[in-house]
Amino acid sequence: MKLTFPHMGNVYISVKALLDTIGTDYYMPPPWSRDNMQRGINSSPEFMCLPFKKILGDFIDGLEHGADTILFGESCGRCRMNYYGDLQTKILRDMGYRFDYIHLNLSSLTYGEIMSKLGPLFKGTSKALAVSAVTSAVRTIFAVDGLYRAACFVRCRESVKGSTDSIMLEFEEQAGRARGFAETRLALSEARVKLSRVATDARADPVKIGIVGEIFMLSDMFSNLEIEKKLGGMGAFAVNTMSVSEWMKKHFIRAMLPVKPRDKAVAAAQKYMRAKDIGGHGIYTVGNAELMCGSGLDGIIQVYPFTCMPEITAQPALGEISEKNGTPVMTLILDEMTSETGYVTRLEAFTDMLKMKKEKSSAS
Amino acid sequence: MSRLHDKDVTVGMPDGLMSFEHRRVWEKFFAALSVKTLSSSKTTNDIIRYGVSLCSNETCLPVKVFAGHAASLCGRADCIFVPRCMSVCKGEKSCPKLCGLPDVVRLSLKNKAPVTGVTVDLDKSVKESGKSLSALSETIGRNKRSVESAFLRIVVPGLAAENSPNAFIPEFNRARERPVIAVLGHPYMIFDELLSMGLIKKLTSAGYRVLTPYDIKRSVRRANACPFAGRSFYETGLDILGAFNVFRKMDIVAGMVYLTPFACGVDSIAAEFVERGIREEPRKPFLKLTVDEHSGESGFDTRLEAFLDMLPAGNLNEKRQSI
Repeated sequence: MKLTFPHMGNVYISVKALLDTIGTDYYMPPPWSRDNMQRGINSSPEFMCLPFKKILGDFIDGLEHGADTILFGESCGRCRMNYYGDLQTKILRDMGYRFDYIHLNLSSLTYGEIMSKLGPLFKGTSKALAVSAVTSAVRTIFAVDGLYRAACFVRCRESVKGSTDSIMLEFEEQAGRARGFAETRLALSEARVKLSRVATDARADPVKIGIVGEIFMLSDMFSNLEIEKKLGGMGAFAVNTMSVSEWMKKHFIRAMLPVKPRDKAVAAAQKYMRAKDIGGHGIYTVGNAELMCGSGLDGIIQVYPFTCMPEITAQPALGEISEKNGTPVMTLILDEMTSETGYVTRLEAFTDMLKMKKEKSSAS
Repeated sequence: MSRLHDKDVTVGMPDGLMSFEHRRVWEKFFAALSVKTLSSSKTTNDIIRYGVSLCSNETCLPVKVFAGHAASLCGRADCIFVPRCMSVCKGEKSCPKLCGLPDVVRLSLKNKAPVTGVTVDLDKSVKESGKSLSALSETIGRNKRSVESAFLRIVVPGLAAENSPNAFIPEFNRARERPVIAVLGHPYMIFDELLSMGLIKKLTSAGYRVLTPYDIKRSVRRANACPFAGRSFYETGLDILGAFNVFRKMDIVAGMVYLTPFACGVDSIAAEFVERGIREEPRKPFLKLTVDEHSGESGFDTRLEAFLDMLPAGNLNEKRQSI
């Protein structure tokens, strides 16, 4: 059995370490591959969202490289993601590929679910090792997201432009080479130390921009054209509200708690959207935007893939939030046709406007 | 009795989206509570234009048109009724845009008129509607208990009724000798004369009988909704897939036309399964038409004509005429 899995941001660092630890044979598609995405686009329905196309491209690459089992997750919400598996299986089978499809139920992701679905992978590994490997994988996801958040904080304050980016690039290379959790942890801690030593401008007071929107686009640097890096380079502090670790907190850790804590974002969203669920993370987009407006943010950017149903529903609420709080909001919609130059121009214009607004208000 | 009816409100009902399927159910509900209702007129160009100006660019044409309908009721009705249909029965769900529809309409109208509604989430539980029903009972000035009982008696079974109000079987039987074209799509696309650019009329006047998913019994549609039969999927998607799998096995169906609004999320899955299914035996001629607010009718007609010319049944018809 040879396994393949799709990319979603930096989750591969953790998944790779997990598969190396339990000794499964796998093929990982390259994390940054325009070619793979193009192959996915060629075989996808026109109005399907970008994550579907990118994931399909990864599957095709994996199957071409001899994989016979696909690992992917599905949940039972209202987003189209729940039906990715059905359609992708159909498309790939029509293309002539033969494979097994393991889908994890993401809405009830528990140790039991992981252990039963991934049973074949854990063959030959003791239960104790399997449980500890899954635990380490979850911890690694949190650590990696923490590192990327720290990088966002440092990048907009660094004295020498590009020093953060080179550290992160080095980390990605090192993590890509790492086998198992020990080496991954080493790469993480080295990068953390290096980040803490970056010379920063103590007087820097960067504009703070909150990023809300669709989780795949926000956590996948390739799909969002490195929005965090681009904003950081323009001297803006990007606060990304959606990451895989946030998602894990909501669905994996919260599911294990006997008493579920109240969700602040959902509660905050009720002012604009009087529903607990409008599909995907739409309600969190609204809630997080409202919460961030109250915490001294200069601007908000909503990012979503073209035709994303939940985010389109959430979008009118952001206009209202902007009007009520006086916080500028910009919506960026991405698909395979998006030009990076046009994207950068918009980010620049938005950041410049926020900077001028901030200067004006601090002068008066 | 007079104490209960001290408020005399008129409830405005926008004639868009799922109201094409559920309008009569809600009208019956309000009639049982003796509340006056006012439907917006059929979709007009002005309604489309106004709706487009109110909504965000990205949302689909039917939602924009719905907002236009709602806006046309401002000033004429005391409140605008927009149900939040999360799911109409177990194991089904609605498009996310329908789940946020009351909010989208409220935000688009910018408080020009109060928006009221009922949350319907029968996949979860009928209890989900409790809060919204008591809010509605206050708005329309009726007893909470009578509103609840009318909801349970009329709306809950009505939303997932076996026979659709859009079934036109009688007409179908009268014209038995004519070839059939199946029109697939959401009810608010295919039954809206303006959005569908008169598709059904055009097909009928070209000498075809028309069948839609709603001519088939709901349970049959659900049982044939491969690959989602027996599984949770979008309501309209199940209708389309179920009907498609029934139509493709029917010999009298000469061809199928799929009408979809630009960038529809449900159709991106349903239409793909249909398009892939149509390539398998038994094969049928198939045309997919995508429309949005910028579509020109001439381009639409050209495609439709080309499709009809291509149909073997159409040729047969012509031959018959020439003989």
